[in-house]
Amino acid sequence: MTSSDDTGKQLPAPLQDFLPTTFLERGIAVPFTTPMLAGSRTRPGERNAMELIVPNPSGGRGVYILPWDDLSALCRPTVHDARLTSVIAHAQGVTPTTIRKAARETAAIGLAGRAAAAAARNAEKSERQASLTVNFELLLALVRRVENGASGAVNPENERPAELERRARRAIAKIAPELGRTHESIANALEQIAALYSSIGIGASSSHGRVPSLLARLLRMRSELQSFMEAGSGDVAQEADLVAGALDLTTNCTKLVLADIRASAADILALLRRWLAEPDPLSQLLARPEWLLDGWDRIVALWETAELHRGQEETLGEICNLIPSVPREIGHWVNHQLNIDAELHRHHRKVVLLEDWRTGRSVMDIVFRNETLLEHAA
Amino acid sequence: MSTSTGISRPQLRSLQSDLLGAHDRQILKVVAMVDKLPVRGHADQFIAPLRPRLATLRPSRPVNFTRLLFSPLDPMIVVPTTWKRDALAVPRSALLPLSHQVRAGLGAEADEFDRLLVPLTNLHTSEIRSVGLALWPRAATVLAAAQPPEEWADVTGLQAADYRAIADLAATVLGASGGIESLAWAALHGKPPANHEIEALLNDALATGTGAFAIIATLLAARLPHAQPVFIAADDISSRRGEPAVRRAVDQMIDTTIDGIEARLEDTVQLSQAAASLRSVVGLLEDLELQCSSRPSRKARIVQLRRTIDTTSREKFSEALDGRLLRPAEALADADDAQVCALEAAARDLRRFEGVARRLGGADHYDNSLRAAAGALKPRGDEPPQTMVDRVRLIEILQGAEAAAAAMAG
Repeated sequence: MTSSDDTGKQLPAPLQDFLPTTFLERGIAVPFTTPMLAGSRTRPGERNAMELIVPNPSGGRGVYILPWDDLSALCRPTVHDARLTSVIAHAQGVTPTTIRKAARETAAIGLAGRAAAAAARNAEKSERQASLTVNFELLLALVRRVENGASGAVNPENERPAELERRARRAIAKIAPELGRTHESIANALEQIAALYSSIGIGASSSHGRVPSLLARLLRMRSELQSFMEAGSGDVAQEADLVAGALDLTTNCTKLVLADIRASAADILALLRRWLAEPDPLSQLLARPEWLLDGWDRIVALWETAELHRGQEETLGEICNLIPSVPREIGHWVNHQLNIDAELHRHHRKVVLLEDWRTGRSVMDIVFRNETLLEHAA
Repeated sequence: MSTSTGISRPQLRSLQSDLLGAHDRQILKVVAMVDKLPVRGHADQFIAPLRPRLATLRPSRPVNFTRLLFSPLDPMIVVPTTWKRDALAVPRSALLPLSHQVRAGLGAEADEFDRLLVPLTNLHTSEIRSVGLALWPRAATVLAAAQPPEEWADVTGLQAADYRAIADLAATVLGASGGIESLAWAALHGKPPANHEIEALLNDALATGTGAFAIIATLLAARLPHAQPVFIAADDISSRRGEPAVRRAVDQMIDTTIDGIEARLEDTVQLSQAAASLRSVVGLLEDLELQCSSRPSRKARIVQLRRTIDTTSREKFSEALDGRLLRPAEALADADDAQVCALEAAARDLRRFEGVARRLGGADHYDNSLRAAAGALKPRGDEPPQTMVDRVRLIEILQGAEAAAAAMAG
């Protein structure tokens, strides 16, 4: 990896106060393995070009915002990152989901090692499986709702697969005219909704989705931080306090958003109607947990694997540099349940107090550590 | 000949060698299993060669009374076979009898220390240190007044007369541990000690005697990231006092430090440990070179040592590059995940090693070797895509992203 001096390109001055107001403006975390790109994000720029947001590599305040193609002005990326950059450049849209897909596609090639490749393939497989499970849960809900506890009917959960399929077809046939759609469009709608719910889970699978699993890991991390916070008034306690504050804000908001999402799925017919009438608002609602938790999968992986690398105390400082800023847009999502202004104010004050850390390990060791993170955050 | 484990020495060595070749995760599993044993006994012997590697891996491990008690002496603890009378060192075999004596001397207080240690692991550095700071001075008092235990010769293989010197050395270090730990702790957290702090500690030791002065100075030189300030402080004190005994103590510190370098390199068996070991050795050598510039005979010894280490390092590197990377990589097309993982680990070990070793000289040697290795690993047209990726990754580790990208482009 080299500095801009080696590449001959001039870097613009870092932007000192990067306080994005929306999640899209904050950008989406990109799981680069090049140490200098730690905490980098991407977002749509002007005229559909993409931008790269990189925390000031000196460890000082501010971020660099560069055209996506100018990555080489900042450093020489690993082969994995060069490929990831190219895959992302060709991705359709910039969302946490598209970036995750691009990251998995790149990792699956093996450029971050075989373990990361296997983790990426497994994660894709799990996601397909999760989508099927949610689709099944939706069909169960539909059968229950349409049959409305018809006497003598076996509980759909206990039904034989072939019979359940027949009952589901019958339920779809019954509601299709009511919703003014064909059977096929109802079946398609259920599949589309299932894909959107796959990371969140629904019904019996609601604790197994990627989002609830990540939330559980974050809550565990939050509880582990307590002992570091109680350790005293040194750097470690301050760092733990900063991370814990950010975690509280993020997990509380995620729980509220998840509650909204779960409430929207309480009535399957209402959900179908809503989707068929106006799919975009529902898609946006279901994407909120991904935006909220974006970047935290890497942080929790860093924490969980800390003892294999530098130990939790040392890792805390690094995590402080990676904490995603929380855009004011969050207020529109949760303001009815949380005094978000007070929460944000408290969080930003802490971030300003504790903003300068960089590590001094060899680049190769950090690349290796970053590759192992891909195994835990695929 | 058999060991106290009931297996023969060759068998034990073979097991230890297998363990040394294992992946980090396997090592961590084995160590966790040993740590869970109610009575560790011989299992410690089995994992003994892993100590330098564990220092790098830093797995979470329980801390027992004996481990905490003697942690301030770590740099001075040697395997019994290398211990020499009059050396500033403690043979590992002496630790358990001394620990039993401290435990007996402390009585119920020892149980309280055990209780404090139960919830802690080696990663609770701050808490461990607090317990240690309470234990060490108490232990120093016990050892200073203790008499050789009856089983001393049987358990340690040492003479009864050796007991006093070893117990006194341990008592001296433990008695001064508060000050030493405070400086080492601050240095570890990026605050190198001021010269007057080092001098104060050495003056306190000198007030006890020149033996204590030599012990504490030697330990500080080994514990702090840079030995040079300790050498300077010891020299200054010696010049001010003008006493031959103090000069001899300084000489003993320097000689012990130089001896320690040779011993440390002999201990290093595996390439994975070699870089960390070499890094501290090179740092010490650099400090010693500055220190000994006015003493031609000692300077010559250090220059010779440096040359020897440089030559050995080049040989070790070439041997490992060939034996651990290039030859196994010939079968890369058929390698499974674990084998590829091992090759990548070897490549990283080699890079870490040469990164330190080139400070001794031979940058061209390492550059050429790495270039040649990358050339030998270049992707071949007739291999499956996965093998090409494996090759590119090895080249990236050895020579960087640019070389890897070029290799991938063909």
